[in-house]
Amino acid sequence: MNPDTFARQFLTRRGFLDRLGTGLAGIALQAMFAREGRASESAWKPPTGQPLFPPKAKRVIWLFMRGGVSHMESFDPKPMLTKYAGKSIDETPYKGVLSPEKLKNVRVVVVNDANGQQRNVIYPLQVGSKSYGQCGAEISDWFPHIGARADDIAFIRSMWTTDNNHGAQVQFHSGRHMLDTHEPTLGAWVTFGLSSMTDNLPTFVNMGPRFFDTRDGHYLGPAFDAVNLRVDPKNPLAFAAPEIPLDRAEQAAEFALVHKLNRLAANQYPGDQALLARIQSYQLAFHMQTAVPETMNLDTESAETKRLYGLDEKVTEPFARQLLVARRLAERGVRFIQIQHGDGAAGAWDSHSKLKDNHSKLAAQVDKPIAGLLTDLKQRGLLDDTIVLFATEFGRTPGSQGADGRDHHPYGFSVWMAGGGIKGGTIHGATDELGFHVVEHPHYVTDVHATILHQLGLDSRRLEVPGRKRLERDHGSVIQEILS
Amino acid sequence: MTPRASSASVLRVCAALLLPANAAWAEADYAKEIKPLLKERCYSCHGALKQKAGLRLDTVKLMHQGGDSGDIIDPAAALLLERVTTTDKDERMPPEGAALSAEEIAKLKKWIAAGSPAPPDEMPEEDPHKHWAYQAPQASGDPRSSLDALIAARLRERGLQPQPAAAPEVWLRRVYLDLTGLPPTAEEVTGFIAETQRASGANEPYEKRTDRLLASPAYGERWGRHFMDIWRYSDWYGLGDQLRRSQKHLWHWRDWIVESLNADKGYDRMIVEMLAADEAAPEDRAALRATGFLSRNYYLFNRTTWLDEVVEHTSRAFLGVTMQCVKCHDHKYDPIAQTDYYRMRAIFEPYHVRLDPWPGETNFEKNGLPRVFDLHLDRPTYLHRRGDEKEEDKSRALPPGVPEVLAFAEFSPQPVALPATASLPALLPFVIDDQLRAAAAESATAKTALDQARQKLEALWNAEQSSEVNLEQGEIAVAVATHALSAAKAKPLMLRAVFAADRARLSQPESPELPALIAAAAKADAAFQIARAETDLAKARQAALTAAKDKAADAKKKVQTAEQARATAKKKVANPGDQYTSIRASLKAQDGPEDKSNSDFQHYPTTSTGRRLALAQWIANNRHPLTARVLVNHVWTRHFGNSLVPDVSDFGLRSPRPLHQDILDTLAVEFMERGWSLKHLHRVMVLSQLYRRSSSNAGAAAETLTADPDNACYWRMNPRRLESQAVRDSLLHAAGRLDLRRGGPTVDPRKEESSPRRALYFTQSADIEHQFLAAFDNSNVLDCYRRQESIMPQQALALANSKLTRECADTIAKRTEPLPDAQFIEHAFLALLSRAPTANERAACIESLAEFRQLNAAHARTLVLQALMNHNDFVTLR
Repeated sequence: MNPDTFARQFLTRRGFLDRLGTGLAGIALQAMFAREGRASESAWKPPTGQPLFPPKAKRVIWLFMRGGVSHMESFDPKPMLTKYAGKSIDETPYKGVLSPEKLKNVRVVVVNDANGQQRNVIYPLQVGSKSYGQCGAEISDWFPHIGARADDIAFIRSMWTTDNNHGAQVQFHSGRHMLDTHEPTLGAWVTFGLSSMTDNLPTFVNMGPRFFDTRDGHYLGPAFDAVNLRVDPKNPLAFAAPEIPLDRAEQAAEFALVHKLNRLAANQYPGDQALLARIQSYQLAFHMQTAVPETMNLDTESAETKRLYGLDEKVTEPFARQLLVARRLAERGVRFIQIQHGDGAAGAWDSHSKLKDNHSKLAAQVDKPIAGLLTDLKQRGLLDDTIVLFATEFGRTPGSQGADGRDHHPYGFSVWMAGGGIKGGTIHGATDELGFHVVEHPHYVTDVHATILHQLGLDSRRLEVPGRKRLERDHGSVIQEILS
Repeated sequence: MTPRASSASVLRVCAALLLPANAAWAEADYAKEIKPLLKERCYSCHGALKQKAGLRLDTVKLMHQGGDSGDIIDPAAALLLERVTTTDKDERMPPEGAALSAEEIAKLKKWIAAGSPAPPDEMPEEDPHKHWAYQAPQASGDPRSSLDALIAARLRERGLQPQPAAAPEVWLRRVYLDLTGLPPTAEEVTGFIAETQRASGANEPYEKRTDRLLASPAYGERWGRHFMDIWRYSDWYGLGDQLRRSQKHLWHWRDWIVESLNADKGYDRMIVEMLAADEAAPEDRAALRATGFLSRNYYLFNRTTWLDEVVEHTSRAFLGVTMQCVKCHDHKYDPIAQTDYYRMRAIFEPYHVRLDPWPGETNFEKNGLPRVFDLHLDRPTYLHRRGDEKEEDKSRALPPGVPEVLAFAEFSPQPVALPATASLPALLPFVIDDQLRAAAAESATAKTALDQARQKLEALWNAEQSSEVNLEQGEIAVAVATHALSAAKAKPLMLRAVFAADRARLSQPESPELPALIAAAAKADAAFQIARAETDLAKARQAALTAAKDKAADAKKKVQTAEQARATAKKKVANPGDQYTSIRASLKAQDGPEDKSNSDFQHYPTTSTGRRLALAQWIANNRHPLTARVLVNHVWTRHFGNSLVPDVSDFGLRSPRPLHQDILDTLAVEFMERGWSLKHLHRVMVLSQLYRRSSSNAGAAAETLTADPDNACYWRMNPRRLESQAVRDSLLHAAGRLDLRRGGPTVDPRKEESSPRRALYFTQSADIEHQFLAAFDNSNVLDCYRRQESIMPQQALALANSKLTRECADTIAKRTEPLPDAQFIEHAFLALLSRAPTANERAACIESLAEFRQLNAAHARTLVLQALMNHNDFVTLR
């Protein structure tokens, strides 16, 4: 088939202008594959925008703690660390963890870097823990509010990755080590696979700082990059409001003239799809100008709801605001809401020293807002079809770095998921007694991707695009055990 | 029942469910259902490319013929089915990816059971070596056919009617933006319309205008930007101050690109300079800038990642050959072996990157010339098993080479002897002068510092309340300044002596005066070093004096170290010998984060391997089947909005013979004959009838629209969306605000939003995002062989809400203030859309103006101008 014919058919079939409403996804991709001649390859068909099978979830709220959360001091407490504190791992019954065979998966980026080393003198737990809920999940005392929601959550205590440095953030989002090629992130794949549920908001958004890779779409194109939003209603996204103030009535009149002139041009260029799309994009833009700030404006939320998230407390306020906005975005049809917590290049959770100080402070910022989000979603019936993911790029070493820190630890760490057909109160997988290696149900990061895609009714193998070979590992496997 | 029979019966049941009842298997089903499956999953190992186990599956005949184990589709014992259904992982086919689905297996089984029907004339896959793109291009026609003649023939063949020429001003806007990236001014539009009317249909006005634009310096900037996309231009970036990728001052390469294009340097020569100027023209500093193409791939942390990018993008950019998958295994689509990849890597294995001095500047933070050179002359290249850098196959080192399938000419690199200034940049003629000037400035600064220190001390003496400590501090400050001044005074002597000795060493190694020069250099260096050591010691003492209590021990240690250094320096003064430190006139890129002595590295190899030069000459060769074709396709794409070969960076077996191969080949041959002149190629394209054609469907014959709705045959032009930089520069240019100064360091990223410079001068790296440009699919520095042309609401927001559009609209409004409304509207259309308004458009604007004035009289015209900036045709080439 001629590539352009293909594009046209795709556009028509997919509901060309509807696809625009999906935002911000535009028509770039279709056109790109078409013109590169890839569409004609074998039997490839672009996604229809519909789930491939009945989905359990419609949307995702992706909470990413940048820098590396200590799994032992959050969702996988290890009392043996306290027992053997100060001892070298070699002196404990667990010295087997250091066998080179078990350490070979790591892929070093910065050789002999000050960080990202194995630390072998055991550092005691810096916080106590207790068991929560019917499921009895053992959770550190820094996360009491999340603990209270344990029966809604499936904890995965058996994650591993390969990057020993913060490029692992990219790896968690895309499935690839940063020294490899750049693959699209999960949010980009979801946006590629599913059509939009909103006509006036972007379908894939990001809030909070990113550093190692600020793009999502990569070879799918910039149309699949997350749109960066700020919780500031006055300035929520780039060019959301006139940079030099202009009365709204004046702007409406200006847009009306643009519309009129473009319609006149359409008479001269009948059948010009791009022109029609541009006309539509102006309508969407005009709506977005109202819809985005409206979503950021929390005035209509009740005091009770605000309290639930912790908007009334200084420590929790910034993250609470983002999460309440996340719920509002979810309600308004945004498909993939990606939130990054923790400033700095490496990420604030990166506790090479003063771990206790650092983690207790950061956990206090996020614990209540996240629990509030779960509660709020649940009481509004949104949790049933919204997946909430809590993740980080790697765990931290059982051994100490310096006097009071822990280093990066890619061999074993924890994430959790809730909602969207995930079985609450599940504790899945395990690390060894030191929290060093995964000993049960190991999951590479793409298993999380596969699970989320599955709940959304997608299969990454059927999203592959011609000319871009994905590796077996890029696809991952669905973690069946945590599905309800 | 055997287990196999049982699973087979299950399959039969599945098949019965999946296929229409009683479907008779016919030849057509094979073509539709079976062959595509085999092609996708089996051919890469059992087809024309490879015949593992002696087996091919690309025709039914070949399947019957079978391989080492005989017929694989014998209905009685179908080996094919056995191998795709086995649960033994080592036996299962295909070995990679998921197993065939139950549905696919059922189809195969049914087809085999039906006796494997197939068309009688089934042809095997073409020998990959015969792929069209691997054969030299042939021009069409004798005398040679023009591009229009070839298009006309194609349209005739298919009964398609071409669209008439667009209005002259539509052509004018195309050619201005295509060749310079800037729209014509209102006066240029009206002037051109008048010219064409006077010339009554003659080509002359078109030719004159084309030549003028090609001669404009803006041409190099426009096409420089295109090539910066393809060649992955990126300024340095890293973490904080740590340089991790690319090199500082890489803009020198950008300037080389722009200047080379403006000078119409042959594309073949450009390739040679980019890959190997250090070997082809080691003393030509202007040409050395070209090697920024390779400096750009520098990566601090991982040499393999660095070289992977070089291999991948050199082959994609110049040859349209995809190499990235060959890193791990033989190519699945192209006849390229994994060893070819590592032979290609071996070409680049020796190369490294450094900054050479730039005349007038001795501080590499401020300026310097990023360039490549061969450093690791003897470093072997090993194949990485499965592409894993930890799994080097050390059983044999791979020699440098090019892919076997493209070995039309012998590849035999010859080592290149380098001039003295290449192996020791300190000998570059301007270095000594710059160093002496810098030393004189240091000396003056040191003198001032000493005067100040003395005055301060005097003041302390005279003051009544000065404590002992204060006085001591004042005295030590004077000591520091005194020693620093001595060092500054000793430096010019050292520089001259060292320069003389180094020059003699490299240019007259047999000179009888050499030993004396070396001795003098060693002596002068010793004198300088002792003064420096004294300064350092005084500084250490100064620091110790004021150190906080908890730092006292540390400070004391530093004093001791400085004392030892001074003792060593003293010994050297007593007995200078023949050792000295050469002038630091270059900065080698770190070999890794641990490489701290990179700035001390001053003597570079005196020969280069010649591998890159051999590669460049092989690529930029009139006999190379790919180079000129790939370039012509890139240029065509940017003039005609569609490409002749759909994937501009893959001319391999996945690119079937293009519909317009005759055009591609004829232009490629002509391009090479004309000395690889890009300007000639542009001229041919933009002066063609095709380029003048209207892009509208309006009035097209119904048969044409039905037969070729997508314009595959170019019966009309294709409209195109402008690239991010062209959108922004056009706004500023239309307002008369664009700063047309050329070249030089990149614009400070913090000042870009308000900068009037052309956008190609902005700082660009993976870490920097320019908000306005980002909305319009800005180039991706990692991979940008072709820009995307998305249509997104953010573009509307950027054009409607940015300060940039508003200010540009205000400027034009101000400029046109004296004009009455009708003329204002006329001018606004000419300035922004390069055409006059239609009657309807004029009426719409007049009506809106009245409406705007009711809302706010002050803004009315600005709003009309903003509306035109938001017009689809402002960002579109019609």
